[in-house]
Amino acid sequence: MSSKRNPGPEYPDLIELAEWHEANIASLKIYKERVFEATVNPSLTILSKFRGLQDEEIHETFDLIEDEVKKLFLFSILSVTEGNIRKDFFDRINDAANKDTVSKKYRKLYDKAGSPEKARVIKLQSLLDIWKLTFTAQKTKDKIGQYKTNLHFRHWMAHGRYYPLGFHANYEPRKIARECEEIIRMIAQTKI
Amino acid sequence: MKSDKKFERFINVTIKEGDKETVNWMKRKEYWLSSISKLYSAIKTRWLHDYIKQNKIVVRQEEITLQEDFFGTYQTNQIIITIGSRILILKPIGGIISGAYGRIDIKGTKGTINLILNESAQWEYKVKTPFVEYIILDKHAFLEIIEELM
Repeated sequence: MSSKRNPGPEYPDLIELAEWHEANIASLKIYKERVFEATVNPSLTILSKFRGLQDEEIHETFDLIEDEVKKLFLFSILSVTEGNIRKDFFDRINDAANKDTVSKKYRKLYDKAGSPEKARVIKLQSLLDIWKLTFTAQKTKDKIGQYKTNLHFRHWMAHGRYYPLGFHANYEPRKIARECEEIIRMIAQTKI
Repeated sequence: MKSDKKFERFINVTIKEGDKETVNWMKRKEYWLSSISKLYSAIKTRWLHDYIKQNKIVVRQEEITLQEDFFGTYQTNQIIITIGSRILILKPIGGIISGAYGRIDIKGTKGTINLILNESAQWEYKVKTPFVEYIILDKHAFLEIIEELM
């Protein structure tokens, strides 16, 4: 269930998302330079939001924007990964030819849910637990474990950040995209 | 990461120093300082004049010291407007800011509003509607700002 097999705007490629994040940061840096230039040449047109700022305030404002852009891209990367895992879930249960262990466990979960609607809201945690038990290599188990930890951030974003995250999320979109891409690839290749 | 940011700040100051030759900083400083005086004069002699005369409003001036990259250390004034037990302070923040020739913050108990100086010697005040906009300051707007912040 590689994201590459699901092209289109609904399923953006994770690596591309990380690259789009970098493009956004690069664009912000160029705009920040323009705002700085507008301190020397005030007649330069800049957005109202950035008028009237002293040097340190310009840095602080752009630091906040960069941080928010990073959070949004991380959220996208983590939730697209979730989408891929869930799509794999339905692909496996819908194809009766799948007799592998994961597909069997998935069918049990599906039957327990009782309906396609309820199956759509099966906890992602439950699907990941199955994968964690399925993979034997410790390194692979660790990757799933890391993704589960990162989900705290995804949920925090999805629920509007109304509670404290509880830890400092120092995630790099490029690193997370690579890790998630690996999980998606491993899941797609696993027919055991 | 922290040293990168520090270096970036250094780069920005250095780039501005390169532009120093093309900017007449002395003239810009004079424009900033004289515009502050003109604003204070408008407030005292026109916008609030009647209320000051009737002792309903007290306006006093206090000297403050500012320090900016190309202006050096210099003196200007903040004004304090008192109505009853409430006060409002107009404090010059700096003349080297983005997209304008200076900024004064109006601080009251209910918040702060920024004034910026444009190239036509007009003061504009910041509003959020809900997005940031700047509107030319006149007597009517200034009286509203006093009410809003006091």
